[in-house]
Amino acid sequence: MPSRQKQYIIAASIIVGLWLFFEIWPWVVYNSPIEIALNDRFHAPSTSHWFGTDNLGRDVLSRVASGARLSFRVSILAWLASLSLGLILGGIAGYWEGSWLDRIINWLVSALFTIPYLIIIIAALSILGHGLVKSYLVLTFIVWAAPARMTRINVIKVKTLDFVQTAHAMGFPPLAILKKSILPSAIPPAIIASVAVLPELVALDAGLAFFGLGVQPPTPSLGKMIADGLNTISLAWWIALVPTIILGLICISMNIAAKIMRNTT
Amino acid sequence: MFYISLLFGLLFLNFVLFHIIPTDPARIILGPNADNAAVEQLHQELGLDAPLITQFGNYTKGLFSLDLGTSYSTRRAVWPDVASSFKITLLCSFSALLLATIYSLLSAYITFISDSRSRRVFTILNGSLVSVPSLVIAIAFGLASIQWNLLGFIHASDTRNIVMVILVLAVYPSASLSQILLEQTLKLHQQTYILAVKSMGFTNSFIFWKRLLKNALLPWLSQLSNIVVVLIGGAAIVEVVFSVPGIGRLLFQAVLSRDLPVLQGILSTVIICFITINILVTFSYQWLNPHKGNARAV
Repeated sequence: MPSRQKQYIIAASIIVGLWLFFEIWPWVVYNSPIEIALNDRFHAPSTSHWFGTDNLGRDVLSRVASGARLSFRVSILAWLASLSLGLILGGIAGYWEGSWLDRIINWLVSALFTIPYLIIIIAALSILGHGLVKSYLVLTFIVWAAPARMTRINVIKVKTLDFVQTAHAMGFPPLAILKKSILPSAIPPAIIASVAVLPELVALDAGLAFFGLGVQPPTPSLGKMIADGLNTISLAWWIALVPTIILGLICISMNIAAKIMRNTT
Repeated sequence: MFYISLLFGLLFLNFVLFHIIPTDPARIILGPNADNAAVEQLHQELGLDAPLITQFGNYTKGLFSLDLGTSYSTRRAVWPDVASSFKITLLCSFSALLLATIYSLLSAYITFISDSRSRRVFTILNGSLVSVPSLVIAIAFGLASIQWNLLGFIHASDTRNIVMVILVLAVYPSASLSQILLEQTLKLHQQTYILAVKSMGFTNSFIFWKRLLKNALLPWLSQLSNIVVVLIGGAAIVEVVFSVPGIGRLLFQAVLSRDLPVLQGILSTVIICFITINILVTFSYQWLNPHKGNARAV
């Protein structure tokens, strides 16, 4: 087993490499991920189509590339959004520890850690309507709990220190103290606590798309490709297998990187 | 106390969610071209013209008398369908948890009595299995079973598929629980009380099962309650892949046909079941370590 540092480098380079590949791929070889070519249905993997074509003659590699690219971009956006939400709410809860605000936020955080959210998200989305934006908004409101809990603990730790007390004595308003003195030291641990959210977001996104609730066709997505590929799996194994492998690769390397980051600090 | 407030909060959310829908349920049933008189009549039939408070009363009353309404698409009562599919999901989840328990105990025992090489093997195995999404594992198992004709796959729904679902579902809990237990065993191994028992000449297996395990099980148990959350969500996806008629497939069909009473019924059942499991875990926590008191109940 290679050392931690080596593992981290391998995992990180797999993620970055995949992302770069998916971003650059459409510029190198252009096969439209959505254009239907009925003459090219169910081509097995070959030199012209590296991972074959699907039931409508679309190039599987191009579809995987554009689906994974979208998943990467939006997951990172949602991660940043949930991180800032967690920082704000966790900061407020920690600063006014014990107040009714803190109680409400704490209750929400504990609730989000205990509920079976996949089923609730699926139900909520099928009522509120589908789509990429809606699914990621709901996901963001689910995953802010981890950074919020971390921030709250750190704010409680920091706020009794001397320099914060000095700021109080100098008469700065509470929000300014929270923003300028307390939160800066609470941000790094919150980031580390919430990195583990990223693979979860990618996997949840794939799960929602699998149920037909995430990205809507014709825009390709990994989950939807897997769901469609299952229908023709005895005829053409590559349609479902390729997105599955890519999804697994992304999630495993993100998880390993996140875990090493958490353990080394 | 936390769980009771959570229960009512979630049930209320569940009710509200279904009453702020932009679309009219009567329109979903009758189609977009229905005339207004028919829509009005259906409103009365479904009790949708009553004020919200009365509707909430009816909803809670329905929950206690197991009357969850009738499905829009199949026109059958919701509760029997939900109950029968929930039974299958619970069977799958608990068998998976049982497998995971056996695996984690065995792996901890093996590493306790043998050298550090087996420990390494288990660490690598758990570390890689714990981060694979259940969708990926399901597809991998499915492809393998097609390749070697092991089990009925997409089109046959029989007991072989249920076995498959159990195996797929067991992967994540096994890896995760085993990880926790291995860590704990290693930590407790160096404690003085274990050394003392060892120097008295007791056998390794006696020390592990009788002296070490109960202490190691505390973090294991809290991880177990986290896992139940992930497990039911994963079961939803895996059941669809293997077309096992569990709660996940019912949910999938309800989503496709926008069948609101079925969705609501599934949600209520899942919520109540969850809270019950969590309360049970809290109680067993107190049984394992009476000193902890009520610390976990927030």
